[in-house]
This record gives sequence, C-alpha cells and structure tokens, in this order.
Amino acid sequence: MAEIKLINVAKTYGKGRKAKNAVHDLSYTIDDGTFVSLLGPSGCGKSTTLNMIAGLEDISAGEILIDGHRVDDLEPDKRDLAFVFQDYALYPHMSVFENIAFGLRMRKVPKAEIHTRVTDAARRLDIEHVLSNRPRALSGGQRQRVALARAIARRPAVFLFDEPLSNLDALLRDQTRSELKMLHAELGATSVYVTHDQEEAMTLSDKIAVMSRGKLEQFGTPFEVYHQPATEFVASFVGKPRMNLFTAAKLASGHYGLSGTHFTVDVPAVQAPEMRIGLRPEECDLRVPSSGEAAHGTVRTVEPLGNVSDVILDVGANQFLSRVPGFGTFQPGDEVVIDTQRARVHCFDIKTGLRI
Amino acid sequence: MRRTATAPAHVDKARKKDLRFGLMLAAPAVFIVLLLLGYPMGYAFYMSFQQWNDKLGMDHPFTGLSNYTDLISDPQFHGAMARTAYFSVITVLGGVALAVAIALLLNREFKGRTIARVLLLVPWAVPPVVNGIMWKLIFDGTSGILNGLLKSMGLIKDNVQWLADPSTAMNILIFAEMWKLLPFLCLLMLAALQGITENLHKAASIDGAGAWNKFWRIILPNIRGPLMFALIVQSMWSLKVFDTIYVLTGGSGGPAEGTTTINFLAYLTNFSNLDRGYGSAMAVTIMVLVLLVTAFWILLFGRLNRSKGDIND
Repeated sequence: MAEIKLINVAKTYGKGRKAKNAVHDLSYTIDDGTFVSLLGPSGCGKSTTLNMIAGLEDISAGEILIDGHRVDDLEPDKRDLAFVFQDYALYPHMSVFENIAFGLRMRKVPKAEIHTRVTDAARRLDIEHVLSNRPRALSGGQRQRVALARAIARRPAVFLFDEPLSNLDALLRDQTRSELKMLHAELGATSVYVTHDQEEAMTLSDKIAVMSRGKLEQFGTPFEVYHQPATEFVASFVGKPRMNLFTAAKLASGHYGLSGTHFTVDVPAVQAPEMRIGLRPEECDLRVPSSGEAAHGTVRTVEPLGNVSDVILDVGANQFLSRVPGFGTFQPGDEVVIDTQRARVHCFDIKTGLRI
Repeated sequence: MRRTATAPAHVDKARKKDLRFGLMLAAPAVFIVLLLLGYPMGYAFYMSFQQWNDKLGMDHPFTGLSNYTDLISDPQFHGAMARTAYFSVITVLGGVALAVAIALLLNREFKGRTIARVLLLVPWAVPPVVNGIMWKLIFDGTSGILNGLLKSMGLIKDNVQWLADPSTAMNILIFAEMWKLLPFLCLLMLAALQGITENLHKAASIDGAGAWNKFWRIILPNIRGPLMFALIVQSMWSLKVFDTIYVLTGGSGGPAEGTTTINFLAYLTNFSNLDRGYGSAMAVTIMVLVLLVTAFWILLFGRLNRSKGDIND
C-alpha cells in the first residue's frame, strides 16, 4: 500500500534574519500498514510535519517519498491520502451523505460507486441513520464519525489524523480510541496520527515519533519509548506519572548519589562525574528504614487513586514520586527509604540529554 | 414540563411586570419611528389616491387608482424604469460580484494586506454628497481633471462632455455609485469569508477540489447568508438611488433625463412639478417594487438552501 519516507525534511517560516525553524532535519520511514504517532507538546512541530506530509504546507528542505515516489511537490489531492481534522472540518452546508461523497465526486467516481462507498463507510461507523442530516444537527461524537467515514470512503493509501479525539469528552475519547484501533486493524492502511496525549500514542501506535522543539527525539515502538527513552526529554514526556529525574554525583565507580541526601543508585559501567538519573515512580518501592539505616526522604503528601497511591517525598531539595499499591500505609511526615532494587535506572548525559 | 402548567401565581405576575416594563422602554422609540416613517408613508398612500397638484389649487378630488393606471401608460415612467433596471442590475450584481472578488483577494496572505484593507474603507468615510461632488469635479466637461489628464497624455484633442451625453452620464453615475458602495459590501463579504475556517479550505484541498470547485461548492454556499443580505440591501439602495444623481447632475436628473431613475422621477414630480398625488403613487410603487425584489432574493436563497440538503442529488 504505502510506505512514507521522510529525508532531511525541514520547515522554516519567514525569511532572512526573521527566519524561524519549525521543523529540523526529520528523517525516518513509516512502514507500509503501520500506525505511527507523532507525539510531543504543543509547538513541537508535529502538526507541521503532518501538514507537510499531506501537502497542506510546503517543505523548506528535504524530500518526502510515498512508496518511493517523491510527493513533496504534488498537490494534496494527488498524494492519495485522507486527513481527519481536530475540528472535523465538515462542510456545514452539506448533508452527511454529501460530506462523505464530496471527495469522491471531485475524483469523478461513478454515481453508483459513490453510493456504495458512502453507505459502506456509514455502516462501518454506525452513522447510517444521520446521512441526510446536516453536521450541525449531530453530536460531537457523530461528527467525529462522519469525519472518519469521509476518510475511509475515499479508500486512500494513507490516513492522516490531527488530534482527532481532543474535542471529545473523556468517556467518548476512550471509546473512539479503541474503535480507531479496530478500524486500523481492519483497513490496514498506513496511518500517521498527531497527538499530545501520550496515552493515545501508546495505545494506538506501532511506532511513536517523539518530537520536541521541531526536532525528532526518538522514533521507536511504544516499548522502546517507554523503557529505553533515547533522551531526557522523552523520559520526562512519556509516562504517567512523570519519571523522577534528578542530577546525581559520582560517589564511587558505578555508585551515584543525590547530593545532600543518603539516597544512592547503583549504575554499572558509567564514568561521568555527574549525570541525570531517571526512575519510574511505579518501579520505586518505599519502606520504613530499618534500625541504624538512614532515611532517604520524608513523605510530603499521599494521593490515593484507589488501586494505587502516589506518594510525594521531599528528598533533599528535590521532590520524588513513588507509586505504591492500594492506599499505602504512609502518612505525611513519615521518614522512608526508597527501594530501587526492581527499578530500571535510566542515565542521561547532563549536557546533551542523551541516553548513556 | 408540568412546572409551567402549575406555575405559581407570583411567577406569572413577575413575568407580566417584566413585559410591561419592556414595552415601556421600547415605546418612545416605536413612537418616534411611527411618527417619522409611518405617518409620511401613510400620508403618501392617502395622497396617491387623489388628484393633488399644488399648481391646480387646494381642491383634492378622490380619483381612486387613476394615478396608478396613469403610471402604466406613462412613457416618462417607462423610461425611468428602464434606467433604474439598468442601473440596479449593474450596481447590484456587478457590485456584489466585485465585492466578493476583492474580498477573496484581501482574504489571502500578502504583504501590506492591513494597509490595503484600511485603504478600502476610505471611500466609505467620504460623505455621499462629497463623493458626488468629487466625481463631478473629475468628469466635468470644461474644467474636469479627467479631460486635462487625457489631453496632457495626448489621448484626446478636445474636451469630452462626459456628463452632457445621456449614455456616458448614466455609466459615470454607476461608476460613482459603485465607488461608494464597494467598501461596505467588501467588508461584509470579507467578514463572511473569514468565518470559513482554515481547516475547511484544507479539507477541500485534500478532497481534490480545485479553485473553481472550492469557490462554487465550498466558499459560496458558506457565505450564502451575508451574500443574500448584501444583495437585498444593495437592491434597496440601487432602486432608491438619489443623492449621487442629485449632486452629479445638479439636481436635474439630466442630461435629457439620462440619469432620471424612478426615485428621482418621483422626486421631480413631487417637488418640481408639485404633482403630489402622482408623485406619491410613484413612491408607493417604488416601495412595492423594493418589497418584491427583497422577497425574490429571500425566496431564491431559500430554494437554494433546500435543494442542497437532499441526498443523492
């Protein structure tokens, strides 16, 4: 079907001294039939990247290939892709049927074929009963479905999604998310999905491209992004609750400590005098210090969530979060020891932020 | 639902009190409008059924519909109707089309767009009479700026009597009127265009709509409301055009009635010939005409609206 290849793609706004780089030097390949998320905070260039793939924005440098053919100088409609917008972008003056059919009509698809494809798409998304309505008569969830139906009726090689769930309420969002996943499994078309919600990215994607300030931070599977974050940014952005990140100084070979505290971490085979250490809250256990053992920190607050509780500690000048099972037994003011035995220790270079 | 049926008495009372207070607040405005609009309109209607010519004395015999039947066979009125039709078709359809075109251009990103938008409004800031005088000074046959300019460029040898030829005078009138009306129409259309979200344009691009399809199938239907409004108000203004004619032709509607539209003819009949009855019949006819044209636009756009909603068309 379609493999999307980005080669040194860059986007610059403005000219001369006012020029601003929105996207720097992106190079990666989205394999045929995979679902890839572009994940990052607002302003990281993810939507710009999607628009460049779609042809809604020109690229300033580099090449975009779909199935080996260069497409970056083609008009959007010549790239064989469909786009689902955040605000759905339904044509307000057309019925749902016409909204879905419009792209087909523009492509001179025969009438009978249009009818089949529209009703088929509507059946898949369960919006057959609203085909004659105008978009404004629909609920947010139904509009979202119409936007999806418009995309699938076209039967494109590539689906592009620009935060399609962010205008839905929480319950509907979860439901639509799993439907999207099933839809992708059914259709098998290459999909690129922009989101700032890491949960969406993790649940939906085969691969995630994490972006920050116009740069690609990591391109990997959800497992890699979560368990082997390539940069400190990825470590801090992916994972809920956020990973604990702090600067630690070398005490002995392979032994680093948080200054001003008794909290130490063992890191084999690292030589730097100082580095950034990352520990996932759910991998750090807490216990009461045994006699003669120095405490690592003091409990500040406990946030019970039912199945787990987040315990926030003061460790020296830093805050540290630990996720413990159930409601936990800790009270504010308790002195505790942080047990990192089962934790995967992530080390990052203090200057470059790269994984060591 | 049941609550309204068994609403407590004091709620009903409070609502009535609110209503009365609201009516009281609106009353002075309603009274003034009735006095300044309703009374003259009613009086004109009343006069139109009488032979009421101030030159023929103070006797005003009731003549029924004879003023109206006279209109049907009056060649002067026919001429004025034809000129009004010519003037209105060009200023309404041409003016609105031009306004949409200019608004489309101004809606694009380009350097100096803000300045262009401000400059667009300048003619609107000029009072109508000043606008008329300005064009009179430009097109004047003996001392006009245009003749001077064309002569210095060697394009003409002798002065052209722009405003002395009935056909050129009418076209200059149309030009001056367009100059005045475009800013408002452009602004209206620009505001309407800006109501169309960026993503709708993008969606249309992805769907494969070219510039032509985008304009006819996406942009135009989405500015239908403001477009209808523009066509209605401009139709009213064009059918009732007066001030520009008055200033440009020195209050004559000339040359040789070349710029006498129905409204101007009604004015001349009423206030130059002092034939109040006949002039009032014209004024009432114009009012009916304006209502008919307005109804036409509303019906037309209403139909368009319905036919677009069908599936499988």
